[in-house]
Amino acid sequence: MRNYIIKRLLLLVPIILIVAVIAFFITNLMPGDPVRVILGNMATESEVARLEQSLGLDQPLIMRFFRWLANIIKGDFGESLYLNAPVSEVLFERLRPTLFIAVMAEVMGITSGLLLGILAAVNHRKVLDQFSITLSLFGISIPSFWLALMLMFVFSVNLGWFPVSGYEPFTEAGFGSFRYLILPAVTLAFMQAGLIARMTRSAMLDTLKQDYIRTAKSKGLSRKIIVFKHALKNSMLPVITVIGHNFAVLLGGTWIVETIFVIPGTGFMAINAIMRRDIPVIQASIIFVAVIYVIINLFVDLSYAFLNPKIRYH
Amino acid sequence: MLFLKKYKKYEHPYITTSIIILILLAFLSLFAPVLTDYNPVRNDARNRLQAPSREHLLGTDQFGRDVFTRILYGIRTSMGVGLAVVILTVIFGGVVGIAAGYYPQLDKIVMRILDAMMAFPGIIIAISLAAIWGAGKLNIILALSFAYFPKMARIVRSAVISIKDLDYVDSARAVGAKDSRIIFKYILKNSASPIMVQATFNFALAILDEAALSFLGVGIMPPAPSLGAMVTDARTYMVVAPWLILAPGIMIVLAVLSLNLLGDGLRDLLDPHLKNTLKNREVKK
Repeated sequence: MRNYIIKRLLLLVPIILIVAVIAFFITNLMPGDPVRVILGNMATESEVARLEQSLGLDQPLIMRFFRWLANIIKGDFGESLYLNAPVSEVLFERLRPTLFIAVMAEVMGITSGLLLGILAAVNHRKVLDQFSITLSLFGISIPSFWLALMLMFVFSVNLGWFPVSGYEPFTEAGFGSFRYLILPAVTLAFMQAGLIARMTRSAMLDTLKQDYIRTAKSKGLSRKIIVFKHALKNSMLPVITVIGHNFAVLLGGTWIVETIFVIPGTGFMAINAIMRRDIPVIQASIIFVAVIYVIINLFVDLSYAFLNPKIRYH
Repeated sequence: MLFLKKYKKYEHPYITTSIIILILLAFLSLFAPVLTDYNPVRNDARNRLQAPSREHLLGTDQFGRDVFTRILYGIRTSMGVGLAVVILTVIFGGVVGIAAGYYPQLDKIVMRILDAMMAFPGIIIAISLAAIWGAGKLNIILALSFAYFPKMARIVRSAVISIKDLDYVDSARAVGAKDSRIIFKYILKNSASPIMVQATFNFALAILDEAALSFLGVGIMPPAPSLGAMVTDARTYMVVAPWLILAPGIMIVLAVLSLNLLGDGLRDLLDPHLKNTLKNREVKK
């Protein structure tokens, strides 16, 4: 197991390096000269040259890449072109609402997804199964931006249960700040639940066919024990993989729901940065998302190896 | 074709249902100019925000444009973008996946790059690329294909690896078949099923993501009709004219839902290992 962990950690290095290369070159190919955007139309050539020099934009791309890489390894993502603050600081400040939304969505998604999936498998080919299939199919087919607006329309505009948009920081409003985050989280949870329910159902159906389940049944164990103790544990492996892989969908979703509900998290910041060509912020946001995804999937793979000894020795 | 050989109309209700809906959507989008007399982009200031009526089946928007007409042309855009993305994804993913799967020297490096690319959520890659290249139909097609092809490449690669060492491929090699012949005649033909299933899901995803990009303003540019951009416009009038936001949303759901259903059905039909996703007759309780 230790060798496996070390091997997986070493594999992170090239992946994160390639992630950095992609993030750097994507953002540096963006049209629109940030220097001219900052200075406006009236700037003289010498002013432009001076700012370019102070931002280091006058050097060749490949030199800039290595300097930039050296800096981000030290945790320095540069200065935001608009917010007049170091990017790492800005990112850190905006982390909390995004994290809350992601965690809430994942918890809701996993709970309801597992529940729906198990119910479907246990009631295979009955009404409850059909209901669960349909619901999870809707879960993966409804565009999150539209669902967000529908939820906003029903629960905020008509029923007035939640604020329409905006956010109060946790430090000021305490748990009141969660009122702003519930609808965004529910929006994202819907798709996660759909994905997880589908995988749980098929994994569970697979497991229920196994010989050892028949043995357990013939031993006279109750259905509850067979389902929850014997079958569920073995069905969890593919489900955990699905949760890991779809974490990227969840993170991408935060960009959209934060924009719709005007929540000042990292996703809202990233979309604004893209619209304003605030390159250091875009780079940091892209790398942030990719690194979180890679780390989550590292944990997924490790837990997989932990649960399934076959992988450890491979 | 394998698919047609195995398919029986009444035994596969998921495939049948989804194909009927998809044919209907294709019909609506192809014959949009015949089905409606209105122009999808011409404004009509006298008829702003009309509720659904006999003249305007789904009402009109804030510029007095007929919503039904814009929906028809919107599906056309969605389907067109989705189809183009699927074709490009299969081509890119196929080439890269075959290269990695068939030539072990390439495998490690290609897989690392694909791993890194898959660390970016597809929608985020697409937003960034669309922002670089500028909004517009061609650019979002390229951006989405770029975002999706790594996964397709991985699927093709594992199909190629599972086939290339089978006896019949070995014997083809033994009688002197060239690499190109082995790849096209033996390997590609037999890895068609997972590619088809993934392509169907990619089609659904492309429609969802095109709508999301257009919604965010980096996709199809107004006044060209796109279901996503229609939702953006409708936001402001959500309270006074709810039909504006309901119609495009329901249309997206319908298209994506039927494609996902088709993907599920095809997977059950073509892939014996995954047969239990939708139907499973052997489970006894």
